[in-house]
Amino acid sequence: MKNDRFEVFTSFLIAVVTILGAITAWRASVASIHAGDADFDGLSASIRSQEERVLNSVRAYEHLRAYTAYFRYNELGYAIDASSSIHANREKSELLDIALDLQYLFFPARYLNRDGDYNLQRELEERWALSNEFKDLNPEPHFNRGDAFREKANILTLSLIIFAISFFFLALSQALNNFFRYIFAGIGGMALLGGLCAMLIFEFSV
Amino acid sequence: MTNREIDKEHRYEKFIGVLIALTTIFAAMTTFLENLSSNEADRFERLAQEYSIRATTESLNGAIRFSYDWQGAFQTWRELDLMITSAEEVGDTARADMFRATRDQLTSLSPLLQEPYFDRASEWTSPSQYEADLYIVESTILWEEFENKSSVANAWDQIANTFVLQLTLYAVVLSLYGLSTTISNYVRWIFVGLGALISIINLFWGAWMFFIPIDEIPETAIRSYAQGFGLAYQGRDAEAIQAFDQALSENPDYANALYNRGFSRLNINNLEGAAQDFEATLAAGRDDTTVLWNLGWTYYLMGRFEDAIAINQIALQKNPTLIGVRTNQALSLLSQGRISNADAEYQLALDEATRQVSESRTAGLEASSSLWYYLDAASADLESLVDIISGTKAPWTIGPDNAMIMAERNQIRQFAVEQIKEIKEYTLALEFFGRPPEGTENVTVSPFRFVQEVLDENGDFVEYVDSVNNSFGTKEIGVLFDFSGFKDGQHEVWKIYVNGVEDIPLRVESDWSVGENGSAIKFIEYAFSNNFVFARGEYVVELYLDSRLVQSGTFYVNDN
Repeated sequence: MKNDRFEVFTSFLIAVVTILGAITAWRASVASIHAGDADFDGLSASIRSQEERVLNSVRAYEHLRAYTAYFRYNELGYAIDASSSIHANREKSELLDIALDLQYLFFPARYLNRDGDYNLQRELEERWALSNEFKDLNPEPHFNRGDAFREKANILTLSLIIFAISFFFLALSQALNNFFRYIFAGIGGMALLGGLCAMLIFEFSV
Repeated sequence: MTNREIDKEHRYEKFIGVLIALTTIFAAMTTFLENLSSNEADRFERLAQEYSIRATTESLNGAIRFSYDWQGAFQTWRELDLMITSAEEVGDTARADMFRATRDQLTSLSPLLQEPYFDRASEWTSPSQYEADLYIVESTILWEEFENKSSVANAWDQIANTFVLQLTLYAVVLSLYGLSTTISNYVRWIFVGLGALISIINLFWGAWMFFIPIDEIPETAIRSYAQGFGLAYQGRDAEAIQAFDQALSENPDYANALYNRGFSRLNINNLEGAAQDFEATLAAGRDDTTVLWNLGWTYYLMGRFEDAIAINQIALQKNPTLIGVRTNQALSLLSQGRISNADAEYQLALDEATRQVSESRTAGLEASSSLWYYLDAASADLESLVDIISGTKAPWTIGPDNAMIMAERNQIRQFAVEQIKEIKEYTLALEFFGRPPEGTENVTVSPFRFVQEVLDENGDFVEYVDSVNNSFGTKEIGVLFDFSGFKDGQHEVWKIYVNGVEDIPLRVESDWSVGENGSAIKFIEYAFSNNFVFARGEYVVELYLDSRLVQSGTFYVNDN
C-alpha cells in the first residue's frame, strides 16, 4: 500500500513535469514566433525610415535648388542700380519679381537665415523629426525586442533540460525499491521546482 | 497477481495502446495544420515585405520625378512667365514674345505643363493631381497591400501558435496515457480521463480553427480606397468620399477608409458624419493618436466639449508629447469656462514645446517643423474663439457655434487674448533662441498708424496719409509708430499675417538700431516689383522686441 502511494505520488510529479515541460516548450515556441514578428516589424520600420530619409532629402534639395535660383536672381536684382536707366530699373524689377515668386512657391522661406543663406540642415532635421512624429521609423526597439524574445526562447528551452532531469530522477525513483528512491524522488522534485522557477522568471521577464 | 488480473492488465495496456495510437494520429494532423499555417504566415510576410519594398520604390521614383517636373520644368516655365509679364508691363512686346517662345517650348518637357494638369485659361498647373496620378495612388495601393498582407500573416501566425499549443497538449496526453500504465489502482483512470478530455477539447478547438475567418481586404476595395486617397490629396473631398464609400461597401470595417472618409467629411464640414467615421475607425481597431486627435477636434467643433476632453485625454495618455492635442484640450476646457484648467493645459503645452526644442538643440538637432505649425494653430484657434464670442467671424474662423459656448464669455475672451500673446511670444522665442521668452517688455509703442506716402510732382515726400483700408493694387504700406524704452541691438521681428496665416516671406528679422525713443516707420512692400501687389484680405502686423509682442495692428486690402 505504501509502495502504491509512492508510485502514485511520483506519477503525479511526472505528470506535472510533463505538463510543465509542454507549457515551457509552447512558450518557447511562442517567444520564437514573437521574435520573428519583431524582426519583421523592425525591417518594416527600417525600410520606412530609409524611404523617409530619401524623400526628405529629395524635397529639401529640391528647395535648395530653388533657393540657388532665388539667390542668383535676388543678388543680381539688388546689384543693379535702378536709377541708372529705365532698362536697369525694368531688369531689376524683373529679377526681384522672380526671386520673390521663387520664395513663395518653390522653397519655404522659414529656412532662410538672417544672413540670407538657406539652412538646409535645419530643414532636413525638422523634416526628420516630423516624419518621426507619426511614423514608426526606428527599427532598433523592434530588433531589441526580437533579440529579447529569442533569448527568452533559448532560456526556456534550457529550462526544458531541467524538467528532463527532473523527469529522469522521478522515473528512476519509480524503478527502484530501496531507500535511494526517496533521494532520487527528492532530487526530481527539487529539479521540478527549479525548472518551474526558471520558467516563471523568464516567462515574465520579457 | 492472478491470471485474471494479468489478463485484465493486458487488456488495459492494449486499450491504452489504441488511445496512444489515436492521439498520435491527432498530433500528426495537428502538426500538418501547424506547418500549413506557419507556411502561410511566412508566405504572407514575404508578400508584405515585397509590397513594402515596391511601395518605397514607387514613392521614391515618383518623388524624384515630381521634383524635376515641379522644380525643374515648372519653375523654369514660371520664371519665363514672370519675365513675359514684366516685359508686357513696360510695353516691351518684342522681349515678351521672345520669352513666350522659349516658355512654350518647355511644355514638351513635362506632363505637368500639359493637359489635363495644366489649365491654359488660368495658366496654372495642378501639382497635386499630377502627383496623385504619378505615384500617390499607386504607392497607396502598395502600402495598403503591405498592411493587408501583414495583418493576414499575423492571423496565420496566431493560428500556427494555437496549433503549437495543441501539439504540446497532445504530448501531455501521451504522457498521461503512458503514466497511467505505471499505476495499478483507480488513479490510472483519472490520468486516462484527463488525457481523453484534453484530446476531445483539442479536437473541437482544432475544428473550430477552420471556421475562424481571416480578414483580407479585397483588392478592389484597396483600389477604391487608394483612388479616394488620391482625390483627397487633391482636395477633391466630395469625390473622395464617394470612392471611400465604394471601398467601405466592400469592406465595412476597413479602418483606413473609415478614417480618411472621416477626414474628408471634416473638410467639407460634415461634422456629424466625420465624428461617426472616426468613432467607427476606433471600433474597427485603429486607435492611434491621429484618429483620437481628429475625433477630439470634431467633437470640439460640434460643441461636444465634454466628449472632446475625454477623447483628448485618451490621446494624451497614449502620447503626452502631442502639443496639438494638448492645446485642443485647453481650448475645449476654455470653451466650457474652466479657465484655470485651460491655463494649466496651455502651460503644459508650452512647457512641452520648450522641452522638445531644448532636448533637440542639446542633441545638436532641430525640433519637428510641426511644432511651429501647432503653436501657430493654437493661437489661431484662440483667435477664432475670440471672433466667435465677439460675433466677428472671419471666413477663416474655425470653431464651435456661438450658442454652444455657455460659459462666461467676457472671462473667456480676456483669458484667450492674454493666452494668444503668450503663445506667440513663446513661439518666437523658441524658434529664434531655443528658450522661453525672458523678462518683461519695458517699452512703450504707440498704436500703429498704417500710412501711405504722398509725393509731390518731383517725387519728393510731402506727408503721410492714413491708409487702413487700401484698394487692390497697393504695393506698399508704411507702419508709423512712436516708441520709447528701446535699446539698440535688441532683437526685432516683424510678422505679417494675411487672413490669419503668416506670410513668411514678408517676415523681417533684424537688430533694433533707431535709438531709445522717437518715431519710426516700417515699410511693408513689394519694392521694385511690376507683378506683386498685396492680395485682398486682412493684414495683421506684429512687432516683437526681444521675443515680446510689443504692438500689433491691422490694415485691409479690398476690391476698391
